[in-house]
Amino acid sequence: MVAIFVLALFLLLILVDLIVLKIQGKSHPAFEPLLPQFDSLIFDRNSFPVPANIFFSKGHTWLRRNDDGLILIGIDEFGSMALGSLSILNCAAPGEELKRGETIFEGAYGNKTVKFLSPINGKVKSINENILGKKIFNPYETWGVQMYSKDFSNNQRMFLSGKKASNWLKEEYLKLKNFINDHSHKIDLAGVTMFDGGSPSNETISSLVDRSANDFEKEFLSL
Amino acid sequence: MNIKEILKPTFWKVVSVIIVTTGLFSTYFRFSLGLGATTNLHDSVPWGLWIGFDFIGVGLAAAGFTIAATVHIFNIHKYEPLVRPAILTAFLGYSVVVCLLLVDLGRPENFWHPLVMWNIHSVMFEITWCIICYSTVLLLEFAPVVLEKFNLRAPIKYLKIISIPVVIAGVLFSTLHQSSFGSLYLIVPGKLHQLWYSSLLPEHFFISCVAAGLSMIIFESYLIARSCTKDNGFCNTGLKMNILSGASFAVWIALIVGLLLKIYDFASNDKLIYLIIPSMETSLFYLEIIIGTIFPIYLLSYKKFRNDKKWLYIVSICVISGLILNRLNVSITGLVSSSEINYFPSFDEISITMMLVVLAIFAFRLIAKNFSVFLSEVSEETESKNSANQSKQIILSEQYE
Repeated sequence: MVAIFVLALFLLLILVDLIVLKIQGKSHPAFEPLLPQFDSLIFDRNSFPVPANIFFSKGHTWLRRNDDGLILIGIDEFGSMALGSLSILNCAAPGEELKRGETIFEGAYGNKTVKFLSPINGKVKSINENILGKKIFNPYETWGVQMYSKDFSNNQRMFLSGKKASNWLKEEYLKLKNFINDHSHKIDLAGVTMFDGGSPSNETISSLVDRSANDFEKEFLSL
Repeated sequence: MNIKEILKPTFWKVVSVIIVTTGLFSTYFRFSLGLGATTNLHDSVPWGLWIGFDFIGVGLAAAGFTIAATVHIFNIHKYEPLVRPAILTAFLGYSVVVCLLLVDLGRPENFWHPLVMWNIHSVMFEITWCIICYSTVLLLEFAPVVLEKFNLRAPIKYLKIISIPVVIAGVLFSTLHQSSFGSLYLIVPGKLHQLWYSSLLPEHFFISCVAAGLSMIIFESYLIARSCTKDNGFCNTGLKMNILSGASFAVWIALIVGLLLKIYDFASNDKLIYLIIPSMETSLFYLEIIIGTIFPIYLLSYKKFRNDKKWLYIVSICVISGLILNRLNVSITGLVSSSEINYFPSFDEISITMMLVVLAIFAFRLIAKNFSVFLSEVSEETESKNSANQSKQIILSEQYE
């Protein structure tokens, strides 16, 4: 019983601490949605507003449900500019049945291609051919694929929206800083300018090592 | 830190003052009335909560030697920002142990006897000497932090010269007595419950303390970040997740090794039958293994959990909880059935223990805030060694003000 008593006391103190912090309106570092680093600029910004009616998948695609039940899917702001300007090379074909995790878009940062994964199961109704071979300038207005999906409503909890999505994007940008730092040829330059609030350039990918696109897919585009 | 800030009442300050005041009264009673009147210890149960806490304190202080060896002997300088917090933790952990031992001794005024009256055949003799030597080593390892504060550069130069032999000596002493605590229970094969008794107890103790010691450092990083929380958010000390998640990977390896050793021990000594005998001991054993080993191993297997500050914090709590359960199970739970006495510590035992823990936390916070414990930059020495990788400097805490 002594072991239980001591363990219970230890856990109780941790719990009381969390409650005290909550009453004081503070957050414990472990559960703080905003990292301390967010007090400083992330690149040249400090907030990441997201449209109200949009859902985000962890693979950096966004989803919006139309009144007719069709789901519009596009690439979010982060995905469209993370390693430079993204050009869309390919989309899933109309009529194609896609499962969650299969490739929905193929894009390129410079000469490096990356794959964006479908966030839902469904059938592609149509694609926006205007985006092919072009760069995305207005990510939340530029959809790429229209899909029918039966399980969107059931799986909605897997997606982020509102404040949660905004915080998550901040975290992703912060992760990106470290990613660029770890993958940069010119480490000194990347470290100094970026951590002082510099923005990624249109050619970021060209200053990174060869495996960067693969690592980027694994770290940022997996679901 | 000014006086006004120190005296400003907060919830934890009030709780701490109550605990320390109660503990001081209990200490007075213990030394004036004796062990018999103030504790629930007696001839059948001579070792209780205090000895259990000695094991926990020493186990959680193990990061002192693991991190020091990683950085200074194996030259993995990525973890240098953890060296000072680890050494401070170890030093404070050992200080609590020494204080508890003094309180626990029937004749505390004779504490110096093992220094001159040697019994080289006793495990206790080895433990005593290792604790004395390792505490001295920790003092030497931490001294530069204090000397830096007062700008005393000459002694730092001499300490640097002897730093490597000191670190090696520290690793040696620490390794010896972490496992010796396990050896201590090899002399009670008929009394300690089979779930915990094993000829591999020294190895179990050593491996579990490596995992728990590193988890303690992770836990403390959160504590110090939490203590810097201001009304308007965070300041000064952030969590550098790449270092902490690297340390958590080492925790994962140590936990797996520990679990495999336990499985081997149970399989080779035909002890599996004890796992299905329903008893309090069996329940506590399962609790210890599930909370302290299996659950953390599962979580740490995934990189996303190792990189997630919330899960890393939860894992560190689980591993520490596992060590608490293990040490108290070995020192108390495992001996209950043979002694046939259900020991529970007295109020004075609990209050003295809590007082010492609170004082250790207070000392850690005070030192961490006033000395360069959590480095904002890597040391000059490392900087010159790693000049080629200057931009890859590892910073545990960063200034964001």
